[in-house]
Amino acid sequence: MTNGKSFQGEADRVLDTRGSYCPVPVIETAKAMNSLAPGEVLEVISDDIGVKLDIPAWCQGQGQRLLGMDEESGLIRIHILKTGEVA
Amino acid sequence: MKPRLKADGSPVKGIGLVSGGLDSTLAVKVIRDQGIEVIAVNFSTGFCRSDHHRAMGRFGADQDPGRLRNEALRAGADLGVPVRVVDISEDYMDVILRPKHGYGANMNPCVDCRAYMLAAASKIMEEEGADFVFTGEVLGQRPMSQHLRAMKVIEKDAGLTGRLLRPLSAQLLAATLPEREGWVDRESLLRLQGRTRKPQLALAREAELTDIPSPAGGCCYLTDKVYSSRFHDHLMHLAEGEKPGAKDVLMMKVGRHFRISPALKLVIARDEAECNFLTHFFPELPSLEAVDAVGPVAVAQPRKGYSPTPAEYATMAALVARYGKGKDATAVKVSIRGGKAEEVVEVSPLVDDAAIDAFRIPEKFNPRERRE
Repeated sequence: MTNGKSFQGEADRVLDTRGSYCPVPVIETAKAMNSLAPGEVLEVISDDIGVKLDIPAWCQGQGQRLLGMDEESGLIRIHILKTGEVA
Repeated sequence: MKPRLKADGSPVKGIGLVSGGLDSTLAVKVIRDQGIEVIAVNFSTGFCRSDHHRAMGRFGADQDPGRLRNEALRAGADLGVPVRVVDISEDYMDVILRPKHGYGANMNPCVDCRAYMLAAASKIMEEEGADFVFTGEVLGQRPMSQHLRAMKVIEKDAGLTGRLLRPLSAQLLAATLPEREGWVDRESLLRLQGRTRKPQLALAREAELTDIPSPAGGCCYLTDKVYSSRFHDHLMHLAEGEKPGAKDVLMMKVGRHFRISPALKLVIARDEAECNFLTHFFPELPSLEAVDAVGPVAVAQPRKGYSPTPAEYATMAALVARYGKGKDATAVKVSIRGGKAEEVVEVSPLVDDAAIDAFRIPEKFNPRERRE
């Protein structure tokens, strides 16, 4: 499910969801994406392994672009480019 | 795909209730295939079993991420449809406590639950300027919430009269407004009914939707006998005017539960993941654990404002000792943490089955019964 890529650029907003688990990280991601302008990048930080599948799936359904995903000692960082409106 | 338009040239838009199971996934596909714009809505009640399995995954229970995914999001990704996950857990508690249409066999208020979700979807329909709401319900499939009469009551209660479409059984039901107006093509809707899933499975194969979870039949904890007995016991012992909270809902999902006294409950973890779960989510509660023998973590849950007595702590320690490796020892040291300082008590493990059973929460209960 990951695209195997890692995003090296700067995020416009960082959302730290550590400590919360499904479905909170996805709900918070949707809210944060709503607050961004198209072309901006969101970084989501999570320690819920479920996000590794859920956030890419959310992006695919919503038509947002997943730029990359990294995992280091249980901490997952996901970068999403806002390409259009969040439904 | 060519978008389906209304007479005024605006696109037809539907709000779908999606769990990610076979039926709701197919319902989205049937509507989407007509070129209708779909927003899939997935309501999170706090009582979903799969959410809990996912939470336990973090504590070492099941690390296969394939089993930890949110199926509604997976369905949206497969079908190219946006999914909105909505947390309704807080308001939903009132539905469970006072269901207008009563309970099923356990604490499951299925008719009210359905009505609540449809009313919430109806609100989203208005906000989004959508034309109708649809679900994966199949006529005659579920004994309580999906028979025809109940369906009508649900539709009315949700304020959706005429705008609620069940694409999988639509040809067996009266035409809805979107069908009559031609926003939805009735001819391409289905006529499924009954409990068999064969036609759905065949349709899913045909659409190459092969990754749908096998029908679990009862994702909701409130349809579970043991969970419901714990929930009901909790209701019967709450402080005046108190409602169960999110943490109470969580606690009822793990461990062995013992009612020590009307104002006190003990929950003993059954494995390492549950130990981690209890430690992580309930640091504010007194915890008990054997110190000179390997054994489970337990937490005491007193009623708000109640402090357990030394005799109650001794009883709880004896139960905790029983479920550890020291159960055959004559004496086990059990530490009690929380509130004030740590204390260690020495107890004989409680091994008499009848005495243990007396503390268990009875599985037989009347969902409607409440404390005087």
